[in-house]
Amino acid sequence: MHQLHTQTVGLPATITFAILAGLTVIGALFTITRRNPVVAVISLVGTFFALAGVYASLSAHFLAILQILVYAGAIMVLFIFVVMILNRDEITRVAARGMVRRGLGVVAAGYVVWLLASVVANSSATPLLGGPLSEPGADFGTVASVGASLFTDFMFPFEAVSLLLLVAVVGGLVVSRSEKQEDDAEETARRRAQVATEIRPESMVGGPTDATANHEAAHH
Amino acid sequence: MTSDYIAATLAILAGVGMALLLTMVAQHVGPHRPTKAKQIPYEAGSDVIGSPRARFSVKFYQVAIMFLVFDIEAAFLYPWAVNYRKLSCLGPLQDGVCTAGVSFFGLGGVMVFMAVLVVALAYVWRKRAIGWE
Amino acid sequence: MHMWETIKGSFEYGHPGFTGLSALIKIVYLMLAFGPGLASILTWMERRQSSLMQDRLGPNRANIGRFKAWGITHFLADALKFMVKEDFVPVKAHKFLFALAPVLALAPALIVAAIIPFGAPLCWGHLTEIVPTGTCGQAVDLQIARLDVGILFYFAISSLSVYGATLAGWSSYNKWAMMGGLRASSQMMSYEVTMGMAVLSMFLIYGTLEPGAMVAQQGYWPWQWGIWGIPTALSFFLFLTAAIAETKRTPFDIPEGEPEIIGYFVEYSGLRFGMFFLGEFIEIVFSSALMVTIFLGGWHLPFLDGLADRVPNIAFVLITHGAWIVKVFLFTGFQLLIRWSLPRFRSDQLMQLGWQRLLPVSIANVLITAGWILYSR
Repeated sequence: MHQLHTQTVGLPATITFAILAGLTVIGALFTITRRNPVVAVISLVGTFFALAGVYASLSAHFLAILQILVYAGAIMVLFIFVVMILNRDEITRVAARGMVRRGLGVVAAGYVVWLLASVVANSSATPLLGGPLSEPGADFGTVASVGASLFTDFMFPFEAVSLLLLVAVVGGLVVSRSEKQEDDAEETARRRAQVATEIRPESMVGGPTDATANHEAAHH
Repeated sequence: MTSDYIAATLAILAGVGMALLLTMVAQHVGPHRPTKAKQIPYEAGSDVIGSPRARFSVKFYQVAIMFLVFDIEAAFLYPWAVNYRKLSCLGPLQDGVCTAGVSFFGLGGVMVFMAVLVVALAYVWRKRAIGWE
Repeated sequence: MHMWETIKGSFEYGHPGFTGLSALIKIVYLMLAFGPGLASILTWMERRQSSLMQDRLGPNRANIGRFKAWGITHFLADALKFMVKEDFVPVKAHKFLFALAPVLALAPALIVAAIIPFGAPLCWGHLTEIVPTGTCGQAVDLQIARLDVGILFYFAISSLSVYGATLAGWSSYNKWAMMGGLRASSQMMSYEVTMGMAVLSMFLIYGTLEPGAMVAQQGYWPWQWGIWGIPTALSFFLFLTAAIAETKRTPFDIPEGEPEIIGYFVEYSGLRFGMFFLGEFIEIVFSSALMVTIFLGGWHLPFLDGLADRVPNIAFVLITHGAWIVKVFLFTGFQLLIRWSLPRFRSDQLMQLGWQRLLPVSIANVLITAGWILYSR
């Protein structure tokens, strides 16, 4: 068993990590065990909050705040909207039926866990994980330094992301547009054009003041 | 930096704590006299028509998608904005001021990015997913 | 004996005990006393101001014994009233989410105060001496947390308040509340985008996201404040509009639209409703504070120029803090004034304004500012 690097990291950092990682795992467990999908989404938001804390403890400041801003703040809101619009009160079981399928699922999950555990346990063998721990610089993970490398070394992926976002928008709209919405849109456009061409004060006989003059004359 | 995170965590705990305290007060101070009328959903005097768990319009989903895409775009633009002076300088910054020439690299790169996203906005605008009638 | 020495040592400047304690004091003062305090006074001030604007008297009766003061103690009466009302939860409501929604509306409004600078830095150890600017070795910033990501923290935390509205609508088991909740959250989301884009121009100019650094870059005189300049003034206008829409204030208050339409908190009573209500006013206070920080110079005022070299540090800090309070108070008063000056936007007009008017203008403003920075090399 290879020794854990607690000596170089220090006790406060270890405790912080333990708390944040524990909260992340608890949040994840809650997410997969809730029957109500809205509660599950809220647990996932909590999980991401704790995960952002883990990122912050690893000096990835910009990433931590983006985790809350984009993931917990935007993507999860989308999830909640979908859950509410689809509107299933209590989720019916969709897990695999039958002992054979469940057994296969357990084997697959267990294999993944074993792989991850062996990588962590043998971390000293891999150069990336097993090398000496060094304190990250003061400007590691800050917005300025992420920007500096994003717009120099990673310029092409940055531009490619814009295309990815365009595809996401078009895809989301194509998937969700209903015939009713298209019909409504056409109807409103047609009505607007009609109103614009028909109703004009000059086209009324004598103009708008004529009507009131007639009204008053009729009353006297 | 760590001290600031300690302060931020304390701030989060204080905010949540205050809100939870007020919830506790709400729950325990005050009378509890449930009657039949208090427990049916409020419909401005009429009887309950329909269920709140009916399907809602898909336009909310479309707004959420647009929000997500533009939030991510803004997230990419924040590091650009912070580094803009450095990116638009042909040489390194001297004391925060650019003494070497002006470079259009910073602006140009982002204009391509924004152009694609303006196309996305125009598409949604045309398809009337954001100008609800 | 050694233990006591260690504990005492940890309360010296720079050590965890000191930073923790100073953070706690700032939190209690700004987040739990000043914020809710000013917000509560604003609840009364809004009603009194709007009634005076409408040529009627408004709430001026509340008094403690013989101390009347134009009814300013109405906010205490309101608080007490909320507390002792019955708290009924609809039978079919989801109890956990129903209780969680007001927390998600109030807590983010409070937590965003963590990055707001509210005064000049205190110089620990030299409080009664004259400390010229920039010569302090042991500065204690009057800012709860000086995060590198600064304003993004504000945006991230306030994006969580969308959950407050959505869950309130969903968990009430009332279809009007549900629709109001969806309307409110889509409104908030639309204007969050505009807020981010509008303030990008300011990030371009300041070159930083950290509010303390932004205030330090601004000077004492109005032409040294962030708002000076055409793209920056436009950015201010866009951000102000988006912030008012984000806090769901008139003219963007169709989700609550008090006398006209059922809002998402219809099934909430007593202090739970009070939490939504208070949360909204606290948002007004701290969004005003944010705008004062970015655009209006923070705690700088013209006649304070040079004062740091003439008065003891503690006096200077208190004066700048007072200047900040005055600015925030005037700005919140301005937001209250808008309420009865403009008609309410319809729901679709609101969405149109956000996506089809403000957003393209914000994007254009970012590009204009970027071009202007290049040009003014």
